[in-house]
Amino acid sequence: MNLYIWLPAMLLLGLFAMSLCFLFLRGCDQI
Amino acid sequence: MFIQIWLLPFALLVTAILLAFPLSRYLAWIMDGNYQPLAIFKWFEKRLNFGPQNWQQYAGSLLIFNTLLFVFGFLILALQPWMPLNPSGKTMLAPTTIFNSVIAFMTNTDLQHYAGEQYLSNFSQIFFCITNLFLSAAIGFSALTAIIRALRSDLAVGNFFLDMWRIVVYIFLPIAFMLGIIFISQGTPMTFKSSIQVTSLETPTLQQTLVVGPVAAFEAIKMLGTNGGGFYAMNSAHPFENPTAFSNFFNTLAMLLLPFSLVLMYGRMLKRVRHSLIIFSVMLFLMVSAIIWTITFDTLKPNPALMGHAEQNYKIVTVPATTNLPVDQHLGNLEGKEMRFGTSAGATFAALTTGVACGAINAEMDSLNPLAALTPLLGMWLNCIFGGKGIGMISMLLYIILGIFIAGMMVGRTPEYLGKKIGAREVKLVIIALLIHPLMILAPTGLFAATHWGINAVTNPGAHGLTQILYQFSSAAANNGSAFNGLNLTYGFWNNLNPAPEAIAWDITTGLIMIFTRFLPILAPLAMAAYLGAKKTSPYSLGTLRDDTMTFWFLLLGTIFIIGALLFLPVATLGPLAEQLGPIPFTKMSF
Repeated sequence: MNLYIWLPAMLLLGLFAMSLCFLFLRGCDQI
Repeated sequence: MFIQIWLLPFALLVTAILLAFPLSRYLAWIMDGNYQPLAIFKWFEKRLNFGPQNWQQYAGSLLIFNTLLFVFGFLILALQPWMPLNPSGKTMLAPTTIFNSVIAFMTNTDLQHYAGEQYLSNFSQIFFCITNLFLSAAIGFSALTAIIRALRSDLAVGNFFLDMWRIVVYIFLPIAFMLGIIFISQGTPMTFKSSIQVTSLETPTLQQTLVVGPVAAFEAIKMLGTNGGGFYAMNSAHPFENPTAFSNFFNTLAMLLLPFSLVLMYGRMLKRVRHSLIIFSVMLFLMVSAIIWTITFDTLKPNPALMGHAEQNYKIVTVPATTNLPVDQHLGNLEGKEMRFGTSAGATFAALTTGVACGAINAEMDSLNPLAALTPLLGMWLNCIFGGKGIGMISMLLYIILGIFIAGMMVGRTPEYLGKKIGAREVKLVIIALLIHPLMILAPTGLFAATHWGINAVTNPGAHGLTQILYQFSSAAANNGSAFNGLNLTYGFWNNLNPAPEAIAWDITTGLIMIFTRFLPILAPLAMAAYLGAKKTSPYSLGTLRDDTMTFWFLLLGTIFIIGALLFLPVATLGPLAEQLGPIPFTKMSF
């Protein structure tokens, strides 16, 4: 496994998923 | 024999119920802020409590806190080779496994695609695992508290950081400390050493290396916080995590304490204790049924392949080699179980662990007879048989709102809960929260069962393999964390030359599922509770649906079964039920 690719990719994937939760929070506010 | 089998679950439930009542009083007292902190704690609390938050700010704080926890955990695991307390020089886990593990511990799931004693150093176990065990458990608890405050129309839903502090300092730490002392007294290791060398009885000339660490502290919060992630891969079946039947009793009791108490805390804080007693009794009914079902179909019946498929009747035979040994076939089906805990401990624990979304195991889940395996699956699908800390009561709240709404539609009255009219906005949020769960279980199960991702990972063909896949996704979605260990999905260290073939797909998919099924079913109910609480209270009239009667009890049970369980009946037919009835074509019913 190429750590220079996978490690940042996984970190960013997690942060992206959390940002989707923030979007969901905004959606709940708008509903 | 009857006592031998049924005394343990009976004693566990009775003790948990008796302790839940005073504990719920204490929880309500702490979370309402009616306590006087010590001077040194007061200093911290004044700084943490920067002011009351509304629900959007509370939810935002919760998400930001978890994002930081994700980054913190990721750094600890990624830097494992360079951190102290690593005498055996364990290197870094694979990045996808780090991703999965960090999310798992952050979301209270603790799905471990690694074996703790093999892949984690003591530094990671302490600073990553134990930290997350405390904090992730507190997240669900604080979410429930915010929802309760929103429902009772408080001007603000509290301060997230103060709530977290209260939960960890005043609730978790004292109880975990007492549990830790009990576990140490039974022989659980508690040391910063990584391993010890022992001379075994079998081979006196050879030394064996046994991994140790701060297991007692780990175990206490692992069970108390309904986390479930074990120090060792064998979890509570390992003799170091759970040495004796006495420690097993407290191990099991610890995971029941807070889910039981939180339901009563809900009633106390809302000043509707009778209502919470009705909810409590529905959950207890489901839990008792689950325990009886599991013990009957797992401990008291043999593998269905022996009974239904073979032509001869199953009979107990005396094997000459075991004549003088204390082996008794009449004890029941103990395949995959630990003898030291007694006959029914494995089945009891299996029924309880998924009910309360803990996910620890003291027996092998993959060994459960197929019908008995329905119970852990049902516990995860419903997620409200007491459920995880906070999350169980929140899931039950969703069913309550939905049940009242359906009842209101049936009799033509506006549905009301706690005196507030339930409107379209609230129902939309409830449905969104309820539908995320089955979507995140059934869609990936179907995808993985149909593609090489799943097919290459199962170790048992046919219906049991489907159940293995289904269980893994149910476990991720319910934030449970147990697994049918037959699935081959450990990548291991990043430089592992022979990882499991589909580990990357499993790591990433379950990781994403855990995030979405943890936070979305917290955010939507919080929004719903805030909108509901902001409405004007309608006066109680003769036509109002009473929420503290037996009618409501049946309504709630019916809603849970029809909305919750029926969603999963098709996949249950394809998995556990098909396995019970035997290979296709089905020849004989075997129960």
